[in-house]
Amino acid sequence: MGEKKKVLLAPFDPVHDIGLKMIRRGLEEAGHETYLLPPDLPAEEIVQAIMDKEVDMVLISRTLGYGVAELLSRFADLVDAAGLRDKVTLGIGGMAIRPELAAELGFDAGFGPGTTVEEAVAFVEGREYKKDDAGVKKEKQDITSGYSYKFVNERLGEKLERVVDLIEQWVKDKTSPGVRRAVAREELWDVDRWRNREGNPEFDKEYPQLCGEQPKNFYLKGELHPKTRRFTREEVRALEEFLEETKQRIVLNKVQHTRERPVVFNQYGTGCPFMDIGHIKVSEAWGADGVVHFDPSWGARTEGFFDGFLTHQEDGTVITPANLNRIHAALEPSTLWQVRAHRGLNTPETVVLAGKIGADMTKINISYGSLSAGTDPERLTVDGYYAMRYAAKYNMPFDVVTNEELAGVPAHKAFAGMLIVATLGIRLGGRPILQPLFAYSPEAMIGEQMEDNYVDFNAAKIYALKSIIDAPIWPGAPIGFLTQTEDRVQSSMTTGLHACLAASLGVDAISIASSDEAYSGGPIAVPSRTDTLQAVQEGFRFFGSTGISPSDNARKWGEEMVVQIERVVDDVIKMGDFVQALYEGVLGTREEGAYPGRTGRGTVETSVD
Amino acid sequence: MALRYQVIGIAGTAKNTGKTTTTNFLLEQLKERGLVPGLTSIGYDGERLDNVTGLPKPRIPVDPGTVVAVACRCLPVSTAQVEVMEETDIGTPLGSVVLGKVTGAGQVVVAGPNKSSGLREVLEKLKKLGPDLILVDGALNRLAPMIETQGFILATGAARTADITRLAYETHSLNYLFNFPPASDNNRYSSVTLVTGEKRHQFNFSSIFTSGQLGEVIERLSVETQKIIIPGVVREELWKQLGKELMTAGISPVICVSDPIKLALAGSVGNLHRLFEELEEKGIRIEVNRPLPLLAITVNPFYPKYRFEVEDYEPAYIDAGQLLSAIRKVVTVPAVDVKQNGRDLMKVLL
Repeated sequence: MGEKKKVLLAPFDPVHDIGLKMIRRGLEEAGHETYLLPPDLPAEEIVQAIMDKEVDMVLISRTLGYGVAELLSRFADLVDAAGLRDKVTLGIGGMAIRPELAAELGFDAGFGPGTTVEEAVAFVEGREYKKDDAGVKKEKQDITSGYSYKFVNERLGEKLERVVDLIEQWVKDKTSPGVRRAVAREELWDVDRWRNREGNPEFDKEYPQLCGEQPKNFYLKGELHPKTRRFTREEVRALEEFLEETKQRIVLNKVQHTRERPVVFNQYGTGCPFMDIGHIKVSEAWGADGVVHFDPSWGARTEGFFDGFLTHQEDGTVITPANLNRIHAALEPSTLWQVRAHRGLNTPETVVLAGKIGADMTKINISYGSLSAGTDPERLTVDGYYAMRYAAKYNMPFDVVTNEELAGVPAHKAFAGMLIVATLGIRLGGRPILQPLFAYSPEAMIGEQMEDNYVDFNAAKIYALKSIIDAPIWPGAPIGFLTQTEDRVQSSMTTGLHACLAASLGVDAISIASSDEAYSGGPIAVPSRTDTLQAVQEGFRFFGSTGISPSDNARKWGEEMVVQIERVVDDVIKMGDFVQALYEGVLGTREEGAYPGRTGRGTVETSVD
Repeated sequence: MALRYQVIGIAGTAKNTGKTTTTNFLLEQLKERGLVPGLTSIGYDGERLDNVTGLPKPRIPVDPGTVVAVACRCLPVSTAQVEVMEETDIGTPLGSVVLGKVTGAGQVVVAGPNKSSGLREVLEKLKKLGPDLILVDGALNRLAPMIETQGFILATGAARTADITRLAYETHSLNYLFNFPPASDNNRYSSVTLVTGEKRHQFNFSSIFTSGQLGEVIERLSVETQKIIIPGVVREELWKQLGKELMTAGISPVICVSDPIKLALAGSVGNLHRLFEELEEKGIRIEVNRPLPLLAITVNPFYPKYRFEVEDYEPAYIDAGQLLSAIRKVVTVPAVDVKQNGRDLMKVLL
């Protein structure tokens, strides 16, 4: 330790001195001598105390308001006029205090909200406090690490493997325009050449021929999608300035308290990548560990991607190499980035493109995509199969989402589909993540499993999945689906509680919505994004490593769910054809709201050899 | 063209009283006359939005040739091109002070030394770069470091109080406090001292902040006491007690304070003004070791009006003409509104 200092701590506020008390403890632990004055003394008495105690340093705390600046600067003047200014160093801390203001007030340093005790001690000891030390050190996490992907329920595991055999057999000689575009993107499109504007002539020649009408017209005639436009030069410049400034200032927060998991994902997809980047930076600053890219619904029905830095006038941010590249460049190094590929005609190519640009994760589910998201089951089985192979190649874990539950498909059927796809993913060398819904789903509304609480039925899902396979679980998406209302407090509260349940159940990740997501009627607002992050943080702080205890129903329902999942898998085996099972409602009937999609029907090609 | 001063300060009675506008006016006037300005600040100035109210603020435009002394972190946020001539180890919350010459016109953000000793050092260095006049931009209501200048212009206005009568009285009082005559002999003591004939009694404190300290002084007073020398600051209530004691006991010494800033910082300038006038009527004279001339006053009708319903500030104004004439009636130095007519301001410098 360096020289021992004498430090006077003076709360200039009428009451607030907690910050100073914490700093005092830090200083004493570091061996310095401290004197804490009572709150709200006149400036002259503080100056007198400086003389009496012969201190080296004074730390003042005061919340700023109009007129307060004058009080503080008069204090600095008094210290100077009393001939003490060369003997003492003056520090000021409080709400709204920044270094610029400290300079204006005549102090030597200023500390705003979020100042750590360590920072204050460094100031007292005259050490330079490195800005990197501020906030939280965050590192990118692999939520799949530590999982064996072995079946706990071996019998069910064997059955799932048999379904996967059927799928592999079926896919073997098939391809599709989506797969061919993915191959072109994989083999002919060099991301570095693209970034350096060197062009990929072979790709540029071949790709338009593999696209549907709109992207084709874009490449051949320069026509943009009618709901998109390019950013202007001024907008691009403004984005770059915004990013540079924000990256300099950003201090990362951490939502987790004593538990390391679940990691927290936020979704973005306002349509405008600039606005998305703003949302992402806010998410990062308020503690999100990862962000999920949402593209427009027409993206799933369009064969092929556009290119260019494009903004979209409706929800969903268009996937183009340039859009993804700009967003990727905006991320903090610790932020996990998921680009969803799961549901449409560009599924395998999305994986390749996202993988080349640097995404960490993707999202693939044949079952959901073809039963609830409008894509033909046959087409998505082929495309999903290749998408998973690429995900393995690009080392991108992918979640297998079960949003068909929102349409009314019972959890056990959605889970059977998810487990089949996950088993296929494992077979192909991938790292799938199970994504059950934490939701007030139609099944629970009708079956009354959530009549008393939202805990048991959600817990049952986790118990069921954990009893089947040792794999990561990421409830979504977002948690609390259909429990949120237009009231921001209510939405934040329910999101926070669902997050705490997820933590208590020991899952690996969660996706959370903003507090106005369900009812925004347009792009969501930044304050509502911080609402839920703060609610989750507060919930994690409240529960710490303790937990929520579900009732016996949770175990019972979980066990029942496993039996029902096995029955569905049996039915698929009986049918002898996974794709046919999708068409015929084995994994969700029309009455349950599962409608096999039509987009891309008849596009699967069987190779002759 | 020779100027009367080498270094002047621009101080204010509060935030938003027009210090920057006055500084900009002077920079403009110097430019018109082909004179080279030097510029530094005891605070932070030139930012786009006010640090407290969030309202837009005047920026500080500078021209090539101007020499500046600013904290190093001001340079990247300034649009003016500044060639750094010297780096110092004088610290500020925004990094150490550097001296430089403006090579490309633009706006400059100025943060400088935050204490008298730092300002003294910076001024010595800045003078060597040869400006015709150095302007020391003030901050808020801060005065202490201004002692290092040869005189100062005081900016006051509605931001201090929108009540013209009160503002006029306070300005009148400041004008009074900065007008005490210089001490007749050498009184440079480092602690409070009583002079009785050839005898000197020195106390072990330089300022009088507690009633205990004042008690010690009063105990030693007698009708023979000729001079009370106070190098530091006396708290307002204790000035009152001391005055009362002197008047009741019929003691009429000379009170010698080190400089007028120590008086202005003691508390309400209006109360002190009333007290000192009373003392002077009883034959108790006040003198200062080191006068700091108040050169002129600038007035500003602008004030940030707090809106309670939305918790922010909006720009507001009082009547500029009324304000100026009220101030002119009560001060002995030129008073101007630089936005209307600032010519008189230059007269005091030429």
